[in-house]
Amino acid sequence: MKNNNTNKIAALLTPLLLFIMCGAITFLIMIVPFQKFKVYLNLAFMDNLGTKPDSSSGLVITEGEIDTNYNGTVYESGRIDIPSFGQQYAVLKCEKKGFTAPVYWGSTDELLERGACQSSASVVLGEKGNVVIDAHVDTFFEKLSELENGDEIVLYTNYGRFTYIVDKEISFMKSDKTYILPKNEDILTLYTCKRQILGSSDARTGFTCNLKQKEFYYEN
Amino acid sequence: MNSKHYILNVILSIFAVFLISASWICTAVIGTFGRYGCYEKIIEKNNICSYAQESIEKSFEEYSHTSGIEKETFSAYYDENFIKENIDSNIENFLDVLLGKKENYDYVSSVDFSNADETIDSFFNDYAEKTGYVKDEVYEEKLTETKEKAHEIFTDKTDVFRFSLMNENGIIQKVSSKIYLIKVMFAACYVLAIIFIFLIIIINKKESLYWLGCPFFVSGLLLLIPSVYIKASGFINGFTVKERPVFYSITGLLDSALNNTLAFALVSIIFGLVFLFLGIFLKKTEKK
Repeated sequence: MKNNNTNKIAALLTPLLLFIMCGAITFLIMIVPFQKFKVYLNLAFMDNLGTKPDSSSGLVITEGEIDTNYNGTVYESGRIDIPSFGQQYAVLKCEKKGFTAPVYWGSTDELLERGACQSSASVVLGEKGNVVIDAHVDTFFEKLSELENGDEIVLYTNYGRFTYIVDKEISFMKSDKTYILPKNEDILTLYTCKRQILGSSDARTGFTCNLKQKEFYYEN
Repeated sequence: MNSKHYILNVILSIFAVFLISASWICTAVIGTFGRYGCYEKIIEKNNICSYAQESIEKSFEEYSHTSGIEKETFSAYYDENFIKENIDSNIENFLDVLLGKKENYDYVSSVDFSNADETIDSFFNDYAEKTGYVKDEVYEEKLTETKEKAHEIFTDKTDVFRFSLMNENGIIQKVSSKIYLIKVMFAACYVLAIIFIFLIIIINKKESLYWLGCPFFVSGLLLLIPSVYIKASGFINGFTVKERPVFYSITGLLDSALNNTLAFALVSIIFGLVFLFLGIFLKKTEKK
């Protein structure tokens, strides 16, 4: 009887015993390879949220309602609202040439489909330095080539209005960063592609503009 | 239970567990990564051709902004049949090299762009005639550059499993150079698993079903637990590359391998439980 009970217990526990032993052996064998490949696995599968791709590839695009008819008090210096990447934070207007474009903070192919893009390596409107904005020549900057020296360009944001005067026409290759590097002067650099079938698709054309006036809506 | 051979049976079972698990894993791996049919199924199930077409069309649209050449000029490059034909050819190319039937992976040079290139030739020709441009060196250079760009976009977007990247890093060559050894190892797993199963049967004439059931059951559990964890945690969806055709191709392949492993694990557990049950039940009946 006692033998019978022992046999029954052994019969039930043997698979469990086997599982524990094999599990422990597997764990020990896998320690070294796992440590070796952990870095690669983490790199290859680093999206902890497990998001599936959609056409916007994860970029959060925020449209903004920018007031271009602000009539309130303005100040020479004031608060600047730093935009987030993908946010439409300004509207660019040239009344004389009749063109207007929404301006997004950050420059990606997706944002360029929606408007003009300001390089996030340049200064935010209102800060001292070079504001660099580009757009496609066949969409939002179609009329850029019509600009002339002395034309007024106004950039509207929700925290201020910034007026620039067109200074000179520029041409450069995509690899030439001269016009898009940070500068000490308050300037606006607008550029687009020189769309020419038999020319280089790396050629860029545009204008640099000098700051005429900064008008902030809120004091510091 | 025969205590005379208990320790020997446990030792043989441990070996059998790992050999059975290894055999199931080899079958899952061959069934997923070594068969053209699996890749074809993933392409169809996950709509990969359609995603690749979307991606190619978008690339040509972006290119049109800087080149001045309208996207429609390249319409032959985002023709769905042309895309499917070349995705399939890329997979065949890869498998031929992997399995040692071919020496070099040469997808890029194997694509026949002659029909698609005609549309670019025609566009440039019409443009030159319309504008009175003389077909000089600049013209020929620009024509060649445009075709090369188009080829680059096409081959990049149709290489949905990123075989070119594996080729550049020497992975395909490393694996294919060792393919004979890999095949021998796979065969050895199966053969050794059968030998150990045979040994278990010979040693345990009366309790062979029970002792067969144990390794099958345990190997099934060893495969099931990590597979269920990976499935439930959505680990595969954490794949970093979010470009749609690549994401759905690679995760589809990994999901397929995981599902195969899960299926084998369940089969193994069922075999194991059946053998265990029969082993215990038949023994009881015998005693009565």
